[in-house]
Amino acid sequence: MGEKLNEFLSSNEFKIFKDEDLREKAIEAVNAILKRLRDENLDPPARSQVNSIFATLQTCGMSGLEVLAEKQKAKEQKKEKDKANMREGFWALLCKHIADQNDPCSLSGLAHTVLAARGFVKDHSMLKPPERGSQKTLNKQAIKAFLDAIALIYFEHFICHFYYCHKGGNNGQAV
Amino acid sequence: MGALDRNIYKEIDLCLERIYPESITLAEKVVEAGLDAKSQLRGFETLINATSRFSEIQNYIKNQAGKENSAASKWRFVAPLMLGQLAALETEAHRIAGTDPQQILDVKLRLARGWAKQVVCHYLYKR
Repeated sequence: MGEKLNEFLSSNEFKIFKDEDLREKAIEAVNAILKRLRDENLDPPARSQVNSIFATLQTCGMSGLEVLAEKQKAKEQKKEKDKANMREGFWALLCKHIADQNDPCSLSGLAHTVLAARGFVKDHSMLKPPERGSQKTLNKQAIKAFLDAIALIYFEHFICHFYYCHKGGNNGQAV
Repeated sequence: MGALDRNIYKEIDLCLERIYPESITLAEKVVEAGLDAKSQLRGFETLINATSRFSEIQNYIKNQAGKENSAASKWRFVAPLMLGQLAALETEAHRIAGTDPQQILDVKLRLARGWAKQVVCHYLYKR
């Protein structure tokens, strides 16, 4: 499966996916996060903070970004801890967007949907051990490979659209 | 970019002829915005000619428009029209190239390069 997955990840079909579908997903995510921040009356993060997403991805990959987002989320929550209604800031929303497996719009959810449709990820709940364990591992490996393959381009879409909306381009609407 | 079917080259040319008036409208707006030719427009054209990914062009425009410098407000003035025209080119590329992913990628970039040439040439002429 590893070879077939690599073939898919380097195919022209996947290039179009990164160029178009992924861009639309990133735009939807940015619009949803900005709307949520507006609704909660929270400020969007500074440009330098958003810049750190790309810098971290380039040096430490997706796992590094998850660590950064968790750290920043903890800082955000510190500021909110004395308030009656604790609000979720940008980094908390980003953490959810990266890793929430129950949300089909999250990056993990997207990876699962795309890979399951092509048979690279299979349902392991009906299998018995040890097949269940090995299928689970294969699924994890496939999702990791997929996320590593899309991360830089996905966050390029994400960050550029974020800057654009943040400065009032197109009134924060998807393009 | 690889070689394309002969009919596709013809379709690309026809499409570029069709969109020419819109490219002129955009170029006039770029003149109105006062974007600097050397540092802004040439940089944009260079990126379009060098990139292998269509969405990099869209992201470049958004990035320029989202900056915190004096040129950013000029980019913001033209960005919605630019992004709208690029989205239309993408749709045209799918119509022209059909379902072959390699051809779709190639046609998108060829259309974008033709479009950029039209816009930059008219901009330089009018400025």
